[in-house]
Amino acid sequence: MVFNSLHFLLFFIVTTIAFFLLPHKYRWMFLLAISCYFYMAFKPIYILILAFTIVIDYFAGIYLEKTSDPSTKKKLLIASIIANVGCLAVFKYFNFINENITDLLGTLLIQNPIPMLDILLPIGLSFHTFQAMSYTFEVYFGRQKAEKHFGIYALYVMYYPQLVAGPIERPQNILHQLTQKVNFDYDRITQALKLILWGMFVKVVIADRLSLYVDKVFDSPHMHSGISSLIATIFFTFQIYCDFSGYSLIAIGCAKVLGVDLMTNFRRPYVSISIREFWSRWHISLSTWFRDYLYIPLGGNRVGFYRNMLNVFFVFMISGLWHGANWTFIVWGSLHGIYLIVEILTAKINFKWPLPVFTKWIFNFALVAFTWIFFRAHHLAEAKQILINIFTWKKGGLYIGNAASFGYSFLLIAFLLIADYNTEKWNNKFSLIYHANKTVRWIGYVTLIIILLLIGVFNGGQFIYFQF
Amino acid sequence: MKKFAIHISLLLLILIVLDRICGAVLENLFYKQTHGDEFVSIELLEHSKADVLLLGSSRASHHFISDSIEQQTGMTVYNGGRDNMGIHYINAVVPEILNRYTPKYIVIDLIPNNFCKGSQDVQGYFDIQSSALLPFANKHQPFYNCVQQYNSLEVYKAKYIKCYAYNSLIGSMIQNTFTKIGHTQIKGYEPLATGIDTTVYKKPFSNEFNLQPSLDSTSFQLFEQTIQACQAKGVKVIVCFSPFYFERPIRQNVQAFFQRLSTAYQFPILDYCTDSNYMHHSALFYDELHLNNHGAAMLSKSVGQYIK
Repeated sequence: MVFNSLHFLLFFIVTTIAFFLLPHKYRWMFLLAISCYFYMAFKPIYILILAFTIVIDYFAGIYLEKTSDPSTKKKLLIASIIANVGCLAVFKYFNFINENITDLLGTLLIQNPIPMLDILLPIGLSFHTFQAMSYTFEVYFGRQKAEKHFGIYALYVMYYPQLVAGPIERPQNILHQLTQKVNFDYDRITQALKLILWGMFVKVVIADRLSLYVDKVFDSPHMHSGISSLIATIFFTFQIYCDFSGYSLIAIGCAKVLGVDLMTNFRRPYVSISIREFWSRWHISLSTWFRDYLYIPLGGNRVGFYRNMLNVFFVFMISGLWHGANWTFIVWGSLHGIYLIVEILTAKINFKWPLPVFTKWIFNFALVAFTWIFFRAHHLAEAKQILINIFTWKKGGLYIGNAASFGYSFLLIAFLLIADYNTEKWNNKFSLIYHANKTVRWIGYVTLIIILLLIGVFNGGQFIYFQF
Repeated sequence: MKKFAIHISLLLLILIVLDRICGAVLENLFYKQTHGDEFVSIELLEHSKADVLLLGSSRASHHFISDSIEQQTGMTVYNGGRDNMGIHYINAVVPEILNRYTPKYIVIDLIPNNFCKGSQDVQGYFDIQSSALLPFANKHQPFYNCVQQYNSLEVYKAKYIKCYAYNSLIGSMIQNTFTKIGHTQIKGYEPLATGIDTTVYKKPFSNEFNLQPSLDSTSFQLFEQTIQACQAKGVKVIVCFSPFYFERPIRQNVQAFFQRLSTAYQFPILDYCTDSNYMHHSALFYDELHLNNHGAAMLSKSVGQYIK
């Protein structure tokens, strides 16, 4: 059940009404039940994986709090990590590793005896596994008390608005909210619905519109020219942003309706003028996860310079691998690691780029867009072909596809940039839906909905990040 | 809660009223188009009285020069080929055309191997064809049933949300009504000018979409229904498999099926799929699937002579 479906719309309306009609003491049960239904709508059997990690992490949390022996604590933490990462290893990485082993053995003319697993990747596995792990880490570090109520802990992992694609929450932010009494608050709910409306708009109108062009070019790069490949790359840069930030906004909005404030996941990443800034604005819940639970435990910047650089590179490479079991994602993550290392090095030698801000912005955007080529490509050969097309400026006409759709794409990107700039510089002063005047706000709601109906792409399918 | 309920109801009311107004404006604009893909369907369904109708996908629209066939046959011709349209679309439009008038000939241009399972993402392909029919559903009631058969939700969306039927069309509607930009057709025929670049086209780019050996029974059923509808009105049907740049032999089981139907319903099949007069002649093709104007002239002459 994806957020941009009629199925979800009905689910959301019915469950929200039921939620507010139920007495407070039954609401957690109801939320847990509908979260199970939401997850099982994708593939029912995979609920067992969730159940497995929930049970392991619940008891790990309890025992971590009970014991004061550091060695036992460490063992419990390792057991929990093995259980969680084990699920990821089996369902997400096994075939990738096995495939590479097969290739490696193939070069030595040896046949790999280990067969491939015929399994589908459980939806959102990386997200809920990481959310579950953040709980165990927080209890281990003593920053969070273990949750004694099994149902509430299960709800923490399974809370449906952020179950399949985040934001990856921390227990400190969300656990106490799940037990708070929620009243029907007009202001909170209208704020939430605005987030949902804007999220839906950027996903259905912008991301899915851009995908029509992007898919055509990236799915057969050898058929397209340099200019088409370049435009497809720029379109994908905005598509992935709108797709994922749109999902996050809908998730945050849905949770807000139900009285839970989730963390902000995107803060206009494409206004950044450096890679460091980009990562403080892009997929914030994941980048802070890696910072808190991988970068800092590895020593962070408290180690020697070279070790620190190695840590940066390693964390970004792992972040790439987190996104998918494919070399393309590893290259994507590694490139960001390299960019950041270069930035740190230039800062260390006090080198300042003698460039105006606009040029820095363009340059930074180009660096980020370059990495998205690897992220979008199905395999490295495809990415290579796109790069060849662009950098050799491969001859051939500009692929337009549907001229009107091609035109909308540019208009929508311009609209998005203006909207982001308005939020960044003027705190939504000129936004229709956040305007001080009520009539203007209503015009904004109606306009967005009508545009959604007129140029939204309603068979755009799943959110890209669901596959992670 | 009361305030919220009132506001939501008011918003819904405004949206319903606006949707009706926008829907009416869009419907009006839709039928005023002077060129483009939708224009071809409008002509086909509402205006054309041509003796010979040509139906099919982009291959039909680029392959058959209406004027050329007219010259040879002495009959009026309209090319109703449209990008991405296959048997699902043809099956829906033919009965509607036949309700309005009876042409003498209907030439159906097909890609035979598309009748294999997995030849395309079948649901996706039908979705594209359904969305092309959707704007006509308000005016042409039988289209509802046709679209409903494959995507019932779409029909309801279009029925209750008037704007939805014109989803994604507003740009092309403005373009095709107020400008000359975009697809321009001459009696439905859309010429392609350039020849194939042999340095680029060394091997087929389209891999026949992961063809499976088994036949797609739905497509054949739709095809058979179309033939029956034509024959019930005494319309002569000609099936044409127009040329490809690379060799693309028809699968044996597909061939056999078409042969069986051809014998049963007495319609001719003009098979140019592996015709050496076309294959590998780069001067005749725009790309591996489409003939350019020179190729189209040659094919139109051949088909025109056959009809004559």
